[in-house]
Amino acid sequence: MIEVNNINVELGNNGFKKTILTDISLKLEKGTITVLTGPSGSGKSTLLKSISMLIRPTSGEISIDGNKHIFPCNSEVKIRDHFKKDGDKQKMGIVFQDLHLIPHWTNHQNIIYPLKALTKEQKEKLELFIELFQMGNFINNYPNESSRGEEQRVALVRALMMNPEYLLLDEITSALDPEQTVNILKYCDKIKKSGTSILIITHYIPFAKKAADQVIFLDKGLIVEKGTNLILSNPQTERMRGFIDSLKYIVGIEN
Amino acid sequence: MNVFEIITKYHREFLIGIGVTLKIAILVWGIGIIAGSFLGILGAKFKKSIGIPSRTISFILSGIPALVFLFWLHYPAQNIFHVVIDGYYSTVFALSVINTFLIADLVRNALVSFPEQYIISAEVMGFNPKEITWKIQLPLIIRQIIPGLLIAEIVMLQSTLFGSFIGVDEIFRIALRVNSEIYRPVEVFSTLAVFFLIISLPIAGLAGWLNRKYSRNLSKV
Repeated sequence: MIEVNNINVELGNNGFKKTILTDISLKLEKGTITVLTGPSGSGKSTLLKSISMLIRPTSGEISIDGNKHIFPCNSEVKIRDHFKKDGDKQKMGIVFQDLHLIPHWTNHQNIIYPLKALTKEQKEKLELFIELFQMGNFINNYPNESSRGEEQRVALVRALMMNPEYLLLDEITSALDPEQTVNILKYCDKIKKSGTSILIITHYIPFAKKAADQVIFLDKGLIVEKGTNLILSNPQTERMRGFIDSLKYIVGIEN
Repeated sequence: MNVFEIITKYHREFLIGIGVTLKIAILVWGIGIIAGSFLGILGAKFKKSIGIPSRTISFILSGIPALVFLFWLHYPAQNIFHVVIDGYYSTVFALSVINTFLIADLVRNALVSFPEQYIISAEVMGFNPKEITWKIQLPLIIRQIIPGLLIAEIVMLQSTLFGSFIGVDEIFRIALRVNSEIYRPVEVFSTLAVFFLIISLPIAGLAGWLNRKYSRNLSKV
């Protein structure tokens, strides 16, 4: 389980520091899906990077499967060991909003190079993903020759191939058509059942309503509401209600 | 006397000149690329102690014509230190210094402006720092500096001509000598141009090949 306790994040130089996250606490339990939603600039991506410790919180505590990190952390102790592969598993995988595919590798190389040696099972798994996410016609292209939606699928498969125990996804379906979005979200639901814990930043409310075990609504760096997916149907705060209503208006759903 | 006849008659002299020009160029390239790369890496790592002084020297050198720097280094140096330095070594030294700081600038800029997201991405993929350097940083940095580096090295090759002004028997000085004997400036200097083209063409070809192979446009189409 990942436990985040009272973390605060300030970014910027000494002369100009800005508070991005304030007093954030949450838990990500194994085999669950947590949906993180909220308006642009609310700190969702920063929270995801803070949980993975790519951004060091200014204060607070993060514990990954009992491995506790207290901030501020001045020691030189490596705090990003959770990205290292342990056998065929990785503790934590991330798909960034900006995707960050390596530009001089093809999409296929971007997926297989992190795996070092490709086993028979991994080959089969990759073939399955290529078919499932309809990647056959661009798998050997370079990222700059691929569309945003194609890159999103490559970045997701790259993370999935690493078998992460915790998977953090930052708006990975923003450039996909509804069919592809459903494909990916269905797959997230499937791997959740095999024990993977997923934190997903998305505004796709129907998915959150159907699959999320926990929903967190973030605004201005604060957790405004947190609970089961029921809070999406019955928001307790004006701010979240307004946000959900806007999403419903765009997607065109009522309930 | 046409170009062909000049080449036939003075081919031995021209070959000696080419030999000297190429020796200077190879030394200047080798020293500049190796020392410049080290200086660039150190400059990127130790920004204040090495990066800023290196950039300052680079700026000063870029403002001084190579010929002036060569003259300054050759004649006053001999006066100050009461030594006699062969023009060949002065030329190699002066051009190597210029080349070193040019390459250092290229390497340092490429390192400093390297997009951090690729390093983060590699870290998230489980690569260790050594793998990140060799598999991601180095190939991308090489791609970035290749065009500038090859242009710099062609400029260095052409700058070897300045050696002729301090008595180095490189190709330009040979051409001047031949011209003083036969006084056929058009033919002699056309011959010189042909020689430079012959030397520059393989480098330009290599540059083109490397550009096609390694400098593929990585930005979005």
